[in-house]
Amino acid sequence: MKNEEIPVVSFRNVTKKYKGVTALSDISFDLFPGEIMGYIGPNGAGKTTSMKILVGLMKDFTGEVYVNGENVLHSALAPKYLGYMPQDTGFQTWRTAEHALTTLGLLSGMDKNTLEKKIYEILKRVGLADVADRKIVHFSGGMQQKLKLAQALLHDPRLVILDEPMNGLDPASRYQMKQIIKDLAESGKTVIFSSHILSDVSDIAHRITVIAKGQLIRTGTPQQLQEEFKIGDDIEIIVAPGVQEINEIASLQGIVSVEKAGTERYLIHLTAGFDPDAALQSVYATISSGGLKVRTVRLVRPGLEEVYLKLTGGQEK
Amino acid sequence: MKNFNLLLKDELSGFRKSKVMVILIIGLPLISVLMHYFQPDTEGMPLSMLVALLVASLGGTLASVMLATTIVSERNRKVYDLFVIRDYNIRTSLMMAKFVSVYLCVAVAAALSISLGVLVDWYFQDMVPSQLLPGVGESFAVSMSAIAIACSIGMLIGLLIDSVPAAAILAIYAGNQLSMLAVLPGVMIESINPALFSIGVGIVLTSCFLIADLMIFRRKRL
Repeated sequence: MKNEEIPVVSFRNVTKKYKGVTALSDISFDLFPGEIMGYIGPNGAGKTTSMKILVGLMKDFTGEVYVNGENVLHSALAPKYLGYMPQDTGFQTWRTAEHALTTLGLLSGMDKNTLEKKIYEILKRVGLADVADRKIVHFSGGMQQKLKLAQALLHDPRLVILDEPMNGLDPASRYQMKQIIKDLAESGKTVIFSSHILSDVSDIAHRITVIAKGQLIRTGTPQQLQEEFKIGDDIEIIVAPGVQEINEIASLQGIVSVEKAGTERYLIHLTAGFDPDAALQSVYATISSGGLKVRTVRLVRPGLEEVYLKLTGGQEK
Repeated sequence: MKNFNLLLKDELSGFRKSKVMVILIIGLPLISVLMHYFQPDTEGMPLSMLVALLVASLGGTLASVMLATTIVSERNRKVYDLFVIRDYNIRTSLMMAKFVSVYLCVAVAAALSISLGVLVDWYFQDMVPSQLLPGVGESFAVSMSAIAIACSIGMLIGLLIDSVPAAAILAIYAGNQLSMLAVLPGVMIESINPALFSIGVGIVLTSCFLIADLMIFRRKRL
């Protein structure tokens, strides 16, 4: 993003093997202040492994990992700079939310006097202020997810690593989570998050990194990935009931194929790079001259899903 | 040390309120009183000593099971991740805080139980305190040694086994059997001083198991 700055995260040629199986193979990337990186890939691709290496939970790897210039293997300062929301971690359920955050805050070296105020602020921000004194054993999955986010942000880290943060959240909480991530980036924090919900990733990520079978397939902005993969646009046509065929359109210039996507819905796939406006003009002209009864004609831009499927060879989303 | 103190305080507050601790704090002293009414033939052994044996066995077993199952459950739920990412060197403090907190809780229950046994001896068997005091110290030393061994074994099982029921079963057997190594020779062989023997064996075995526990946990992938 801003390559003149010192990276907050430097992942250099990281390789990790589990009992002879390569989980990560020569992964390298840098992340800069204020950047949001969406980390996507099929299950078992190596997303969680790379996050665990980044936060110092896995030490037996080759390569180098720096957080704010501190080597995660040797520096005692590195943990101060990062906040981590793990995917599958639980809390000691006999604690209350407030008690859990107090202990974790003190372990992060926070000042006891400011901690209480900070805990209240953070619980309010994630929507758990009303249940601060409730035991975690009584929390739902979504509430535990929010508490995991709260502990990751508590000590105001420069780098926030979120492993599947949207898991188990209802739509309103998902929206709130996305807003929090955007706010973090706006305040200069660097955020890495993984998700299987590609629309969430394309909504908020400045950069998307695709990983599959332990290899970094591509990294770039959503637009860069779409352009690089030359995924053509589509034109959606909804015809009036009773209209059987729109064969005339299939023979137009720049059209790869016509797909019947429903009883009255057609998708016209355009050649990658073909001017969508020109295609729309000729589609309108054909409809008008042929007297076709059409209710809707609209341009559909390719989404991250298409890029993802192309990059991962259609592996499980 | 700062982190150890914080974690110890937390763990003490957690174990103190657990159901197992309630059973221990009420159940073990109750045994002292019940033993008097059952009037077992102790062949001259003071009730307080018999109570100490029982406390060592029951308290040690429960402590061992409690530690083993808690550690397995917390490992499986990856509870320790959130601690370790904050301080890479916290693992020793985490395990030691758990050991000390369970040991202290059980020690309090054992002390209550043995004290009650002494009171029963004093009241019902007309034994004067000066006669009883050496026995009390001996009983307490034996119990504490056995419980320390059981706790360190429970911790080892908790770190090595991934299933809660399997850890509980193993802790019941291994914790109980091995902790009796500190108790039985002193009771059965007259030439051995039970307190000194159990303290010696307790320190050696507990230290060995604890060192193994900490080495395993430091290397363990969370």
